[in-house]
Amino acid sequence: MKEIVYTITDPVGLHARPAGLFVKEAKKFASTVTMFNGAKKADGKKLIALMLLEIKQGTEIKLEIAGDDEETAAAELEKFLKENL
Amino acid sequence: MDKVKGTVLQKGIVLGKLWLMPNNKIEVNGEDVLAQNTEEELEKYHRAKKSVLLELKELLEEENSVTGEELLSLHAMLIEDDDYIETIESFIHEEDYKAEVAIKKATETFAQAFLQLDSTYMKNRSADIEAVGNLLLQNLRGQKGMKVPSEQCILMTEELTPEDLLRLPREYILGILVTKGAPHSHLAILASNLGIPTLTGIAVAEELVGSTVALDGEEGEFIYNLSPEEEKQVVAKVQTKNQETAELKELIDAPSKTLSGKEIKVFANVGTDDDCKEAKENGAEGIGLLRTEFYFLSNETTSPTEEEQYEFYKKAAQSMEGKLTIIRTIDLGSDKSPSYLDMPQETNPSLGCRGVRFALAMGELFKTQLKALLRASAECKIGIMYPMIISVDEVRQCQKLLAEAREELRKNNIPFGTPLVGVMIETPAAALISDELAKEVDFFSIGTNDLIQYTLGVDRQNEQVAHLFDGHHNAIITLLTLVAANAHKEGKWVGICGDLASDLTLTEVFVKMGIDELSVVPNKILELRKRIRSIK
Repeated sequence: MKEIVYTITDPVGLHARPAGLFVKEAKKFASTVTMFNGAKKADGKKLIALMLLEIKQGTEIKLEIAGDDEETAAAELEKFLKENL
Repeated sequence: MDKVKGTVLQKGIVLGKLWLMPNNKIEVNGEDVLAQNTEEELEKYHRAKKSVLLELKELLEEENSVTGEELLSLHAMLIEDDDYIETIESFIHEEDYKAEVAIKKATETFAQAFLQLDSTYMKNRSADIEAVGNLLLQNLRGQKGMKVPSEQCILMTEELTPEDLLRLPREYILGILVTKGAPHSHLAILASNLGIPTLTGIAVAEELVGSTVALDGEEGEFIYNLSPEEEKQVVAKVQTKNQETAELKELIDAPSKTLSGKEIKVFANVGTDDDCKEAKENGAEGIGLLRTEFYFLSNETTSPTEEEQYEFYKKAAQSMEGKLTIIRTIDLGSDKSPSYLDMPQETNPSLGCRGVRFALAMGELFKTQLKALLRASAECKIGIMYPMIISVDEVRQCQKLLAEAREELRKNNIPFGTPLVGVMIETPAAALISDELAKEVDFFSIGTNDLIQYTLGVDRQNEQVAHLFDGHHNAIITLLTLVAANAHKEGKWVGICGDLASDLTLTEVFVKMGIDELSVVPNKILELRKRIRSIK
């Protein structure tokens, strides 16, 4: 399992558009992707659940990625976070 | 002529025939909820889902606005969301609900979940899930086509989903009047992107359908029962406004040069990165004043960290795409202080511990801000500006702190750049010693609001004396002339960032005294540029 910790810098947080893009990105991989906001967590491939985590600017999120392609998935998703959020 | 006030979602003035769009929000009967055949209901739901997705895809192919495209793909993703699908399916499967009841209940559940969230932005997303639910219900009921106007009109309706708007023939929609529609809803964003004048908070008035009405998105008014004479007046207002707007828009990329070729830069005053965007769209040649105190005040418990500030400054400056962004260091005082800083009450805050006095007294807090600014200037063109300066010594103290900040960054191997450094000239003292100050810094920016207050001894908030607050006073003009001359003697440039900068009756005076830059609120940039271009 791979873990990524990232602090959201986008002023509106994980809003609808990037959340949608994130889901599309996560769905490219076979690995499971779980996003944590403190104690709350959501399946990274589900848009509504991700939006309901209400991740704001300055929030430190954690991603847990597990599966056969976890290496690539972790690298790609981390890149995605840095570029979009 | 009668008027009703509404809230403006998109500016603009239009005159047209009122057309009422029937409310196509589907009501689901709360009594007859159980299905005869669950498999059939599941099938119905899946067929509706498939057909709505197809329809959204078709709309998406025809759509050519970015906002419209984003919105349609968001809604398509919501329809395909696993949790939403599973909830609907389980309502049908396990509770034996009819498809439409299951969709309604699942939609309500998720809309409620969004409404429970803290931020207005996320609360407003409940409207997106409701719009999606309504699309499914419309489809189930076989309401594929919707009623559309057959000629140009001002559309009136209780509620308008973004899809409704996208499905309407755009060339026919002159303006929109809705009863419900929040300022940050997708409808608002879309109307603004499409440039359709829109007011919300207007009750549906069926008796006016077919009559000629006006929507004044400048004043926020819905105007009806117009006499022919009044119609003509509105038409004239529309024409003038359209012409002005069109003329001004052509100046977005035009240089701010007088007829004799003298250039005077038009910058913008901003407080948030949204303002920066507006500034850019209106053709700002830079940011003349980015206030940072709102940023400090909006944090409730602690001051923003160096990292947070760095990101904020960088983001604001990056949105200006290589143009200079002048950031003013914290300008707080006892009259505006965040709750996490325990500031003593003062009897006269405007003559108290404020501006750079406050910043220097804070020490570390100030140094943290300077570090963030130094870091942001590694990637962007940034100017640092100190407020409320009255002496050379204060400037040197600030510069000493800046040098310390630079040294600390260097030790920790954190990259930083070389920002320009300037001071605000907003006290008569600073104006009178501007010859000495010019030797210490790269630029001046004149804060006229305070300069007038301190020079004339007038508080413009005080109604009894506000009429004496006069930027045209000879004392002010004399000080401005002196500051400009002293700056130029040392080869430095000088700008004005107070309200006086947008006083078009003074533009020519400013050009003559050699002011190099005027910084105004974003929506005044183009008018000012137009004025500059008309000066000989």
